[in-house]
Amino acid sequence: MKQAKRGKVVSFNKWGYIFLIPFIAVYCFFQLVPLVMTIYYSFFENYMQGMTQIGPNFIGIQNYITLFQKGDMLKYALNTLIMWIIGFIPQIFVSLLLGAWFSDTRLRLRAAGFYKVVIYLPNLIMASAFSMLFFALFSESGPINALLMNTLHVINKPFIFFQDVAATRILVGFMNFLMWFGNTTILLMAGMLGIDPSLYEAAEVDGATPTQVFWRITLPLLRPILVYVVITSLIGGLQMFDVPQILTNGKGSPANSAMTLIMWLNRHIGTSKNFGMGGALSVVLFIITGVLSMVVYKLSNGKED
Amino acid sequence: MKKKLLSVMLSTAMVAALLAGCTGNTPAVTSEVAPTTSEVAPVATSEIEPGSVGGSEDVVLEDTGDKLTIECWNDEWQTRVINLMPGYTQDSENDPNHGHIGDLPVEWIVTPSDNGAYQNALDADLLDDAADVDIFLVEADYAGKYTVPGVAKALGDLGITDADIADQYAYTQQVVTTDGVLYGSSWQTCGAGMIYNRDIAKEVLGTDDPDEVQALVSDWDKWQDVAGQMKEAGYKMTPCAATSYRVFSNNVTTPWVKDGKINVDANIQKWIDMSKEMVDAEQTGTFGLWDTNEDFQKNISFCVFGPAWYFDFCMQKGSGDSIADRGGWALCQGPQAHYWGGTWVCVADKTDNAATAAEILKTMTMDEGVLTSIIEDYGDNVNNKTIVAKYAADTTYGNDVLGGQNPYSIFEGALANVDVSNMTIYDQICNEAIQTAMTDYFTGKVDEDTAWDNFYTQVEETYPELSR
Repeated sequence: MKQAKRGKVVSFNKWGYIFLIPFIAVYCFFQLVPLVMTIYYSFFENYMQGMTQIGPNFIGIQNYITLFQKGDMLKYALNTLIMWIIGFIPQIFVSLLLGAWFSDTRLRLRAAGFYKVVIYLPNLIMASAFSMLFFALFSESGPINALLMNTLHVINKPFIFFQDVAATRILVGFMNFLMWFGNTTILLMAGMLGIDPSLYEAAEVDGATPTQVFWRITLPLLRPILVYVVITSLIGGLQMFDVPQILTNGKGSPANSAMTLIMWLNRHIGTSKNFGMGGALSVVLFIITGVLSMVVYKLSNGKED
Repeated sequence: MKKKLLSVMLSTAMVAALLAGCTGNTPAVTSEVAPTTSEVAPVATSEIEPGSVGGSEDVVLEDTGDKLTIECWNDEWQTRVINLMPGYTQDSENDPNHGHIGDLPVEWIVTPSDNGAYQNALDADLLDDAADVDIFLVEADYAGKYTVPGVAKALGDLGITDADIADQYAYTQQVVTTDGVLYGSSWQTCGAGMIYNRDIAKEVLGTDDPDEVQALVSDWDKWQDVAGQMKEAGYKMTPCAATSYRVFSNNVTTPWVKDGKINVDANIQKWIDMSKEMVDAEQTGTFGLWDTNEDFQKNISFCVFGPAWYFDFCMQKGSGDSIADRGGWALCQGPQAHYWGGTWVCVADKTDNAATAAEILKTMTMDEGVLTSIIEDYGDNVNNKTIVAKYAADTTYGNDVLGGQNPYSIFEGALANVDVSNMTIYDQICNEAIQTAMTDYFTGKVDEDTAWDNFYTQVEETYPELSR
């Protein structure tokens, strides 16, 4: 009898594994295999010269050496980081504020559901379409310049946004902010709603101000979600591509200041299909992403150690 | 037990279904070498004797495929095929990308060419055995990459004879000739001139007569003097610095790439110096070449440089109130004779509809009736000496955009000196990269050295085999 019972327990576990099969299989095929292949190919010289395939020839870590010696990797990494920060700071600030308002029971916001939908909407638009829209809005003869010149009379000749380093970066950051703050708000709000209301009530009884409640209760308890948001946003930021690519027509102009790491990768695997260098760059990015995630994770769990 | 079995089967089926989607499409890059002869060197077109294809009409061509696929980067040739190719019907009025020739469906794949995107798409389809490509178009900037055995079909193998191409201009054949074999054909020639605004010419120079204006701009010094006059009168000389780029870049005496090294011709440096001067003096703008829309609507800029396809395709003819619509432009040769661009039609080596593909290539680029219609309907310049000579001599012919001026003798003059021996397969990216990099220099965002660095970096990143 006993044995039979134990058998039943084991068979439940089995179901777990069976239901995991689709994920594992898909993961292996679409993630793990390409990942291993990428690492493998990063040690080869492998590109197209005209219509002729060069390689693959094994060249050891030559691709990595070229990448660090010749390429402007640091510059592009810095570009990526700057544009990510430009977008992320307002994003986390606005999201925290909105999340606090939406989850505050005393405020009793009307039509909160409606606003939640509205702030999420920009994320539903395809990033490339969004970029095209901004490109048209801010172009030399676009409506923003018309507004600044003819209605507000701030400037007397068109300001060419896409030839200005700061303007281009700010636009990229602003678009990323617009696209992602709704998503972040929803995540943070979920975290805030998960905080025990009795803590708020106790604070209220003790006469705490809303600011104190936010800094002393909401923020510390929100920490795990906040860390998650930072990590995912950072990884997303490292992969920034479609917005600046479309906005600058793939050039990363002006003066390569809006060129992100993935746009650089795209340049390698474009015309010459340089999978060796592309692979090397991808591996470096993979390592950076891994390290950054670890650092943020360790820092956030520092207290518990 | 039955249920268990069922669920196992279901989950396996699910996984199998998911995996089925990716079979036959392995991500691996095989070591299979693309079918070309030797190392791809910059095309040395100078030694080529054009004019002979060695083909005969006896070649038997067959259609075996179920559809004809044409790859191109804009609708220029597409519109001409739709309107002028006998037997071509469009499936629906709003969808130019699907049609029929007789019973054979035709599909157009249009990929804009910026940043080599068209080349990338075309490469992928040409190398992928499963992809159908029958006809593809190439530009002079990279034609040599595709006019090689195994990629494009030699015209001789398409039943095209020497008589068919006897009237073509030699340079149009040199561009698509490799090792003495002709791989493509163009319907147009691209001798170009200076297209100037008649109103502004009258106001500032006191005349809009092409000969008199030509005398005032016959070299670059005089041209820059005129730019000064324009500035004083409140006009820009050209919409943007990029306008004059091709006048310099297509008059180079050395190629972009020499022995695997990026080489900058003195003429390119001349363009950079002149453009910087003009931008600083506010005689020209700095935006992209294709963003100059307002300049074709209002009297803002004095001139642009362009070939015949510019009139119909780029100057907003037909938008209602553009300068082109009221015939407000005129043409003269300008400071330096030049040509610009051109589109060549190639039949893919792997075509499965060789008969129809050859028919389209022959009709659309060699048929006298079609070429005459291209002049009459589109004002383009065609690749047939006899027809062009006829129009050049025709005093009754006039182009609407040019206010009735006959442009063909000026284009003829520009074609006299065309030298395509300095073309390489790297030209598109080099030409794009230098304009992007130097725009940052013109606007003062970076100094000239940094701009050069940016240029070299982009070219080296795009082509790993090149170095500075």
